[in-house]
Amino acid sequence: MLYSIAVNVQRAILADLPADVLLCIFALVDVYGIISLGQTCKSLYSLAFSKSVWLNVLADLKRRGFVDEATTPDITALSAEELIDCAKRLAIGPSTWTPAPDGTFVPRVRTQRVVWQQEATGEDFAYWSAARLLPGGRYIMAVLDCRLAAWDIIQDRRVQWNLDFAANTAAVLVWDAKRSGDNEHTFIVAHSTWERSDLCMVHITEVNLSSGAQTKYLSTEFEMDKLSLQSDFCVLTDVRSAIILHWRSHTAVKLQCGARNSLLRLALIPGYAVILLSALDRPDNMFILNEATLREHLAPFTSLLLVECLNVEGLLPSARLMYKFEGVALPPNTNFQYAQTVTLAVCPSPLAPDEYRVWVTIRKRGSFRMSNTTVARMYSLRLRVFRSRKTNENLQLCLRTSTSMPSEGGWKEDDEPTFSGHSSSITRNMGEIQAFVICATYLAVVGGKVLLPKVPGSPPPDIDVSPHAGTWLCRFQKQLVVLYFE
Amino acid sequence: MVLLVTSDNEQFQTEKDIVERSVLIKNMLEDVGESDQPIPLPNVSSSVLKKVTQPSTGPTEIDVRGRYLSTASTTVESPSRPPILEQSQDETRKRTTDISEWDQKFITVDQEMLFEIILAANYLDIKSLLCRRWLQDGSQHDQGARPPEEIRKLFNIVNDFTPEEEAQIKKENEWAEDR
Repeated sequence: MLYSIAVNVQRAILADLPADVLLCIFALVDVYGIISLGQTCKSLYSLAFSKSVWLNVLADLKRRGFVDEATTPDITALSAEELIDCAKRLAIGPSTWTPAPDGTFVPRVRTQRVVWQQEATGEDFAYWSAARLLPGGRYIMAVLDCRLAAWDIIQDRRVQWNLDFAANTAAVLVWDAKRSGDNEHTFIVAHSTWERSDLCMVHITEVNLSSGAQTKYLSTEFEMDKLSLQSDFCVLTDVRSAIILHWRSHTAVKLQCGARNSLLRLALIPGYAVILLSALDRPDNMFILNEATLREHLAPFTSLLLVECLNVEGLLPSARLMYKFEGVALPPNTNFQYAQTVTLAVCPSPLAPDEYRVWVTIRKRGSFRMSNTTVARMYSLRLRVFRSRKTNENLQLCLRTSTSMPSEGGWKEDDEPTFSGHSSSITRNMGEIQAFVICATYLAVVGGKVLLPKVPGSPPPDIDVSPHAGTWLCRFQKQLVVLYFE
Repeated sequence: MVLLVTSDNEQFQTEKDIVERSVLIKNMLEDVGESDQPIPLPNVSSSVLKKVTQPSTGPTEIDVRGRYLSTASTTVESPSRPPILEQSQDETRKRTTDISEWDQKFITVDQEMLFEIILAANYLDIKSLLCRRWLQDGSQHDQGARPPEEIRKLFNIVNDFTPEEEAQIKKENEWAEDR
């Protein structure tokens, strides 16, 4: 009997617990907790770094779409070391993404897969863009000839699936896809289409990429530039406003910033909205607003063009100021050109269930006494939610790394960085097979000139980067190549 | 009502729907069928069973960490149902991020008690558990995971690593350090 072992112990100690109970405890703590426990004593060390503990961790990560199914189809076949290594890559990026003293970094490619080739599909002229790996790493979604298309990397084929369009002439503008529940093949897809000069639509569909079955949830008029999905919400944003659309209930609210020269960015995490307010001549502020406050304002709509509009400044008293981005304000009296780009991305962290990695890039340009001034920085922050605490301290946001971003030869205003749990990067084609990449992994900044692996017979690359579990997706002109890094 | 008998021969009258959330007791009840026979729990003492089945109301008695007492006593709504109700069977597999208020109060017990509760919870197959919170939340360090030194102190674990081994392990695991 387990109990009899301990019943007379005067000072109960954790290491005395039977191994099966300890394994239960390991299953309940996050990666930080496992590592921390493993460093306390030898008996806990051997348990904490055992295969069963890490199999559990990886199974959880797989369920959440972190584990790349194309390169790691069967986690049970991995040894304890390989499992830990897999978790480590997810946390801090591939091992070869480390900066060299001269500022360049040379990522080594483990394998590469040509997913799609112009010749193979037989299409005369195919133009495609916005390719990204979907969570789980099995499917790639992209816009091919103005339509959304998907590839199955494992079966090496194009997914036979067509979104049901309102009109044949409609072209896809932007899209986002997230897993729907725990099913690895089912995704919620949000995409916007340009139907004709005066009509843009946004559609929300659930698609099973294995069977091709789809359910349409919503199609409505739309006027924004970007969209992103977060569980039952879709956030549609343009420069100064954001619409939060709860697509299951067909309700929405629009936030707008009223202040001059200000930009608004918004991302959602379960229970909270992360709001970034950026102004040219003031430090930028990040706020966190309770979702309940937003939900109060959600209202049914007939068209997204007519959604009730709230001034975001009016909500700020009930929001919490979490971070002030100092040092990115232009001097006062700058003659502002409207050159301000701000991005905000919130990615779930593989290390703990309620931890998020927040990536922010801020770039501002203005002229002052005839000379141009530019500030450009990329930030990586950690956001944690302690749901058990019903106090004001239940949120924590702290800066991990930040780096200034050179503008010459590197980042242009219209470049969109890509983000994942472990890194963020911006690329610029520099001809031949060189690219300029600024890449911040979660713990360090790496970047500079990168030599991309050569793909035989390919023309100079045109690169889309989407880091997912150590992979990059590179778009060469007539090929779609996924690079898996060491 | 179900009659439970603890290891120290104390009897507890408990609502059936409450005890059935323990997988072990549920199975026992199914095996026994409708019966007035008491269910023996030889691995659980009365003090522990009280902790596991009683709805917790009001501030909790012993406060080890100091800080929890204030959290627990200032919360307005007190949970009307005991913890096992909050834990359905299929949920036990998922990592639940939501630690109930009950758990918050639950952890304000002393070390021996915690140890017994862990064993009892395991025996009764109730896995919502407290340990997670003990091991992570509430550390004075950055409110993140407790560093190894703090866990050692809390659970009275003897550090049997050599300084070299300890440094080596620390270095290997820097990537997941909660900084």
